[in-house]
Amino acid sequence: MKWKKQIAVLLTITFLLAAKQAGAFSEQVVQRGAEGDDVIELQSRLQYTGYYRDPIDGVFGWSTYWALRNFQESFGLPVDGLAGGATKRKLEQASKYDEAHVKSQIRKGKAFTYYGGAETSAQSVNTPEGFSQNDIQLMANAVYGEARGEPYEGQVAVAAVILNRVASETFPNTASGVIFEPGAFTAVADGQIWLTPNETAKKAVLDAVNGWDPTGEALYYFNPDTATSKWIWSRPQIKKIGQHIFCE
Amino acid sequence: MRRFITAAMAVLLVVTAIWGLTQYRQKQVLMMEAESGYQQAFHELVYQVDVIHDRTGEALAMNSKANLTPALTDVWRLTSEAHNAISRLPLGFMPFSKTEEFLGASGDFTYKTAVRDLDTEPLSEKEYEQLESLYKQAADIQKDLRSVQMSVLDQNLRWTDVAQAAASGDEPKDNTVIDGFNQIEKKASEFSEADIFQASQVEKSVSDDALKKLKGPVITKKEAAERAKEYFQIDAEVTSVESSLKGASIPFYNVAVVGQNGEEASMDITKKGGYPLTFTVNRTPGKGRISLFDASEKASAFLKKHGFEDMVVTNSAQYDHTGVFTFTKKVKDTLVYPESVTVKTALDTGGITGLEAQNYWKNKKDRDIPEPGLTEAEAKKELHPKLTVMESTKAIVTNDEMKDVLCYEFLAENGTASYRIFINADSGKEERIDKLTEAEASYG
Repeated sequence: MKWKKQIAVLLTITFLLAAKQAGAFSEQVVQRGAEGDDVIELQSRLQYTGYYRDPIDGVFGWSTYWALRNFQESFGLPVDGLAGGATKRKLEQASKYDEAHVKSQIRKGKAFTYYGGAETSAQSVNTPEGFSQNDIQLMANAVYGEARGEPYEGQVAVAAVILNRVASETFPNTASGVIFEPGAFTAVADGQIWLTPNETAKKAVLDAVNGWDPTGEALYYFNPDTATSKWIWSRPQIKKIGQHIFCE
Repeated sequence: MRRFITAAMAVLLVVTAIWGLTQYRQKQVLMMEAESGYQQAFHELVYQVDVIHDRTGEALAMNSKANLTPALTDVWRLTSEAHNAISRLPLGFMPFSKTEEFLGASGDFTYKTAVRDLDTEPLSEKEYEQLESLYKQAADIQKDLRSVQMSVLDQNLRWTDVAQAAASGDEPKDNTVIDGFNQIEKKASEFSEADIFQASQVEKSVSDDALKKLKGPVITKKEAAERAKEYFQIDAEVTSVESSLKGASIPFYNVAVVGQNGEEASMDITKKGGYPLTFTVNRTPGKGRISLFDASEKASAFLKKHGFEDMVVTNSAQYDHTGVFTFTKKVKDTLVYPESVTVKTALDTGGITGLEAQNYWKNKKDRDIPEPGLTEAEAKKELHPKLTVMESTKAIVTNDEMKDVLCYEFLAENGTASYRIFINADSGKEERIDKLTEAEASYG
């Protein structure tokens, strides 16, 4: 009977260890586009098992997605690209994860090769398709310079006008081209574009680049109290937000 | 003492004089640089219009398709450069949009005809006429630009003077440059009225027709406010309900509210039928407690509740503590990309903080999805051999010519990057290739 007891103890220890290891992943299902600790763990474990070869950056992008699907396929799991319960258990069985080590390396922004070869970079961020962080920063400057006293909707609207101009055939084809077109924005002419934008302006820009357009495809806007150009009044007007009238 | 003061004053005077002179010189240098920039842009513009004129003239005489395509491509490139040159000139204070529209329309026309296989689909009679009119218009603009150029060179006119006058607020009068450009603009307006580039050539990115056909009873301001509150999911006080102005593609109400914690929210809702066009709630979510996956489920339930049927997630991304999802209509096994909406979800409470559905309403229609002419395996053969296909599905997308076409969508990778590729399900043509972006390293 003694060996039975021993097995029981052994099993308990194994379970405890497994439970401790499993404790790192949160209970959440991790899907493409996510950021954060679960993603860092997912990438580390996929890298340990040899499926993921890119930097551990904490953003669930396409290369992580393909790695996860390949892992699921090889381990006989349903191939859905989601890190749910069963997939996470399989990953935990198949790999080791030293959370403290990985995170300290990421914090230091160091390249390291602990997890089977690939280098790890500092944390990354999601940016909408076709826009860099610098584009977003420049637009936030323009929005803050032009519309910082306006309601939130009015700030999204100014960013949307910049993007509508980029898409329009009658304006330059880049955000910087549109913003710095001589005479286009007063904030550029009087230097207010170089004020440091606040979080609201940045949020408004992010909404606009993600597709929000409260202006109904406007290309121009003006303040009816201060506008000097007669021509601007001839444009078909769509909507008024705060102090600005938006027009085609 | 007096001597000392005199000496000090003299030194000060000399220092000031030197300082002033340096400032003046620096200013001169900057002015010169700015002037050269403007001059360069202007002369480039004149040159480009010259070449547009010449090349369209040649194209008119060409019979061989092998030559026509490069000529049209060249014109297309030049219109884009001319555009760029205009944007560098200090003309912001004066309407120059007609000329730019002319360049835009010419660019569109030449692009469409240049990318087309002219062997199978040669220029139609109508297109030939359009090319002729393009040639004539280019000639007129060229003539006027040349006369402005002549006076700029003759009288040594400076663009920086124009820019300074514009910056100080008064529109410069009696300026040959300005007069010349006004003249060009006037002529360009005349072109656009002559029915040369009709709507069939210069289409808006999406037509508003479907939007105008939305059915339902006309709602009142009060009803609009009530409906808006249902979408916001916050207990809010309505601050204003405004009607859209005359230029809106469809009449709508703009409902603005303030929530109990001071969060601003606003929504555009159609007068007819009360359909939601767009809304945002300006709230910064606290630390995320729900996963992106759960948030997408909530967004999906929200859409179902508000009458958006058969929508599936086609993209998801997390920005700090907000999840942003694209949902696309799925008809049987085919994704209909033109009918997509974007939804924002706060990852702390799971509340919906935004919906953008204007394109959805513009593109929504009953669609008969045709049977594909090619099998998936046949379409796959059109892909670059180095690509590994990871996922595939059938999809309807809007192509370069603004037509909705049935395609096979392939998600593929080649070891260094991932791509989304649409292969026409009948012709096997690559309708669209998007390189999928990976996360950008944070420099913050």
